Amino acid sequence: MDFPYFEFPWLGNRWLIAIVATLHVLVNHSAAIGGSLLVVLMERRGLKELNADWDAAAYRLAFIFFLLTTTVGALSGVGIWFTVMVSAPQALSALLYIFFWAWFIEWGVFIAEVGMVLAYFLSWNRFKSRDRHLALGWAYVLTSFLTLAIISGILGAMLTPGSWLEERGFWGAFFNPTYLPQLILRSGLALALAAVLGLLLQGRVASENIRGDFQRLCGQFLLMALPLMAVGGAGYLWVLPERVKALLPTALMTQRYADWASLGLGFQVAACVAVGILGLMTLRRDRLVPRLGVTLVAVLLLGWVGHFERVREFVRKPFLIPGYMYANGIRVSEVPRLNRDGLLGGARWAEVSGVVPGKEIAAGRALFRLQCAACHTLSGPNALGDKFAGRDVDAVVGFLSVQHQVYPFMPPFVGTEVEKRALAEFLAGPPSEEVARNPGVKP
Amino acid sequence: MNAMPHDLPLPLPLAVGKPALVIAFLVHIVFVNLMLGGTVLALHAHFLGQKRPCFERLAGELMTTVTVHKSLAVVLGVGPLLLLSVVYTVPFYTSSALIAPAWLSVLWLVTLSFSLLYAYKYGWSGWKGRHPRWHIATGVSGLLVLLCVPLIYLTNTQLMLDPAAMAGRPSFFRALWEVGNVIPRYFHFLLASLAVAGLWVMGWWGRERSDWSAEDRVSLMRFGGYWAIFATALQFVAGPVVLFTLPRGALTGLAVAFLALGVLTGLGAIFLLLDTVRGKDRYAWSVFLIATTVVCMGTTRHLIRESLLELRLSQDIGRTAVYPAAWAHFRG
Repeated sequence: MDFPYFEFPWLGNRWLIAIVATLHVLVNHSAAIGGSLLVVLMERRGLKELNADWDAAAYRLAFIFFLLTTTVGALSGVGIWFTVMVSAPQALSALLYIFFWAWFIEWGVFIAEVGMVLAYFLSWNRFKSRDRHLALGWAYVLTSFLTLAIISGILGAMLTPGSWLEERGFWGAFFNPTYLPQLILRSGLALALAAVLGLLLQGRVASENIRGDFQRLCGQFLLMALPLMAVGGAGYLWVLPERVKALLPTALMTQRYADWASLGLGFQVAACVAVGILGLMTLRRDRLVPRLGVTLVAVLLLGWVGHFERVREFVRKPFLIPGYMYANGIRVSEVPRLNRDGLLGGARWAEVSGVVPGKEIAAGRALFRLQCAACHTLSGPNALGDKFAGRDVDAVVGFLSVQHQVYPFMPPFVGTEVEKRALAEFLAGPPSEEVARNPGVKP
Repeated sequence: MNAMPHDLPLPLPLAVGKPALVIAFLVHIVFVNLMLGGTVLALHAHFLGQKRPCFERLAGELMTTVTVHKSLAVVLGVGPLLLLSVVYTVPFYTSSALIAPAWLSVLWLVTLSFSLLYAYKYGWSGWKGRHPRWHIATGVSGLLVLLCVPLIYLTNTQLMLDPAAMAGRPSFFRALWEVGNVIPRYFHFLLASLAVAGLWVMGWWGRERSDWSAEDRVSLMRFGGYWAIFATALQFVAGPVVLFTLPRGALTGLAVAFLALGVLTGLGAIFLLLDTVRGKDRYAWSVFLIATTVVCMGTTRHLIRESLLELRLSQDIGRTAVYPAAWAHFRG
């Protein structure tokens, strides 16, 4: 309420954040966290077997990973911050206040990680003692993993804040119930993604002499990843509170197909099985796995990541931080006061400061921005415009009064009865595009 | 305006957060200077290299360091962003949301620029021989894209200091032209980047190094030195323009004192740099004086920000006091 509202055209803010964040997860899990380990193990093997082919392959793979992490990886990381800053400033500022020191330490680890990757990659073949270069590589692996270990605490607290709600303590929030399962799950995911990316690039990086062995190394990564993903995933589901578990069917398959939740779960399991099968197939040095098979598993794994991140984000609803802040940035503790005094009066950037007769639609538009636009658009994905257009205003008011009971993943409507009716009039008004162009239009 | 988030304690005292912000910002901006100025100097050296091979070699090596500097510039930028978000939450997030399309463009602009500069750098030993014009065009394009980014940052950090301008919900381009003094600051920043990059060339290539001939070292020392000298000298034009276009009430006595010290050390640096280019080794002292200038200018910049925000902060404190009272009254 204290900030101007930004609506990303058509896609909406939710999808904007999701795209940037998923891109970051894909690049950093694969090329940095899992990738650093893969490259260092390749270099170590080259040193152990005195085989220059391994060293050359490690260098080529490190080059690709280096470019990916220092461009798309780094910028999409900052990008998450930028997109959340303009889309959900209340939420981000609260998270910054709670986790400032975790982020500050994360910053130090980031600097160490970037320093390590620069030193490791750019000093290739410049060290007299290759063991020292390898030690640098291990330091890079460690710092990459530490970034994951820290961010997992912050991500977990947004779903299961642990004792933070009562004690408001940092450690209670950081070592929350989903911390460890998520860390294990993401570690496995990082290994799997690095291995699949490695397999996709094997023609470019590994010479014919070592291609079979390189494939086997990637297969070992996939088979290591599988139990971590299974244990982490099962543990994650296990510790979720009952309220959250109840939202899983919708999270897995969307509201319309919630009855088919087992399909969503089946997809998750099937993708893991595919990873396992690919892992077993790649253990054979003498028979290269067809590129089509690797591509298929890569697509499944990309889908798995996107799906998992969606489920994780969705089950947090209706909250951003459970019990403290709703997904639209309204604090739980403020709801009674806002229900009495109204939302628009305190919303300094809203186009209107209250509901004025004759300008209900404009007030409704402002209320839509404040309460709905965090998850909904007017005419893009998850659009509300066409759901309510032409409906009876009283019926829409009735729905707004019970929306959080009908759909437990939605926050309650917050504001006075007059504001509720203004929002209903806006939603029941003309088709969404017309209203979006001209908020003053009367139905 | 409510101090956000009003129900959570500040994670660190402002007396710590503000100096930490200044230090973290200065460390970040030096690497940004090295990245941006380094790219300009590399392209200049590339053109000079068509006649003198040592400059072409310098251009290639300079781009290698640009790669390192740009990665460090990005990662070191996270700290100032974090501190700015905590110390100036409301003004900073408000201005960012107001110019959100431009602010979000930073992401693809920087990614595009870095990709082009990587292609330029790694093309040196690859496709440069086959397509020399395309190779240079890639570097120039990367630089041009990169040059857009500081304009967005400056517009945001200027807009956040001007509540009246923010209330008018300006577009990015309106804010760029009308709010604060973005354009003079932009040139001030570009000159600083060129000066810092010039110093870097002097220190890294112009001094004793076994793999360059003595003659080449002298050339490179002059190349870096003249860039540093001319860029610093031009600050004596750009600086006053920035000063005279500052909003009214921006300068306090302390800010003027830091500014004066920065000007004096900058002037001293020019003379020492001239000595260094002429053969006397005053490089370490030049770096010391330029570093002092940078610290003084960074502190002045912070003091100006504080004085411009003073009115707004006093309003914040008033509102913050009102809020708990209203809340207590509501709870009865």
